[in-house]
Amino acid sequence: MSQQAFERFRELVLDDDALQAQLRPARNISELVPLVLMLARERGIPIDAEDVEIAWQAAQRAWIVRWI
Amino acid sequence: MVDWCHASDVPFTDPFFEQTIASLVQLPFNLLFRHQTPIDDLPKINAALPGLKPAGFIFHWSRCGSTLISQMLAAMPQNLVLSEPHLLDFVFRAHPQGARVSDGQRINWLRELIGALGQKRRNEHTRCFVKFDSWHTLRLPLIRRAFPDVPWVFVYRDPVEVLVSHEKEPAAQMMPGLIEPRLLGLNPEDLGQMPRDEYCARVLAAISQAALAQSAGETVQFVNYRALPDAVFSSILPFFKVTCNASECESLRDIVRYHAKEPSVPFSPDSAAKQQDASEGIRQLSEQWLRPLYQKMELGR
Repeated sequence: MSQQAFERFRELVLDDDALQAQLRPARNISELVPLVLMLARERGIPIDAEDVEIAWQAAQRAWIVRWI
Repeated sequence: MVDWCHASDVPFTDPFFEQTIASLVQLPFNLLFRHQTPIDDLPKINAALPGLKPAGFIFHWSRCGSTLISQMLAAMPQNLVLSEPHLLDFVFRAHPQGARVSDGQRINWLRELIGALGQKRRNEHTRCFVKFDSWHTLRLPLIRRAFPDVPWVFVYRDPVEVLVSHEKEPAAQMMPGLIEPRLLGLNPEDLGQMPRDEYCARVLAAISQAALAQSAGETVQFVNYRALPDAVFSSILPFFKVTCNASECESLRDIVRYHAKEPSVPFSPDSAAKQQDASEGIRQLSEQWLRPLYQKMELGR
């Protein structure tokens, strides 16, 4: 699928307090992925689990590199 | 760029700000939906969501009880305490693409970052305190220009005990070169041959000289480690205009029973052990570089 689609969903989330409130309680990535897929699908944004996994790995890497 | 992290109503009671942030970024939402804004957006953000004006600053020598003080302040629910947030270090060190940054720009950044950090986390927050990293004392002139009206305290300890602490577990700032040599009154070429313990003494000397210089003409509270924890109740709280009822004082006294940096570990006094462990070399360095400054700070109490 598409990293661009994930980025579109990410921008949507950052602009929507209610969406954030639904996603924030996830305690780990396994809980977060199904929520992301469901909420993205409801908004007609075509992302799949692999898109989220790629974004998640990039996010972890970016956070670690920040401290180097 | 400024990184934002949703902290909900987390009270920021960990010994250090970065510990709270480390816990928050374990929540996958905070990493996957990480949000950054240019630092120049902060004035607009702060205008929409103003933070608490700082009620007090804590500067210190390191290894001298400053974390105990910040932990005791944080035990009061009205207090938001920011303990050594590293992002303030970027204000002092920033040289984007090698460009010079004016003092005016650094002052603006400092005000805006502390404004953003000082946003109320809970309804009961009415005061914000900032404990700076020890080497930020060297930047007191800039910090005072940014916040001329915020009361500040300087925490110190018998220099032998501080030197012994750094000898056993050197702090990052005692790595030669981490602090700009000119801030210590040194040249870069001085650092290569200088013994580590002497460098440590010179760093502490520069920090206390900066505090003493800035204190001239200001009302400052100098706090000796040996006066803690009672000095929190007798000096620091009144100096910061904080009143503490019986129940709150009890909560503060609870903090004292545990190690300030490791709250699950009972506190054990270590001054006598440090004095005993001090080598002749450490004592000489203390006498040469630090004792006269320590005595001046004692006069300022």
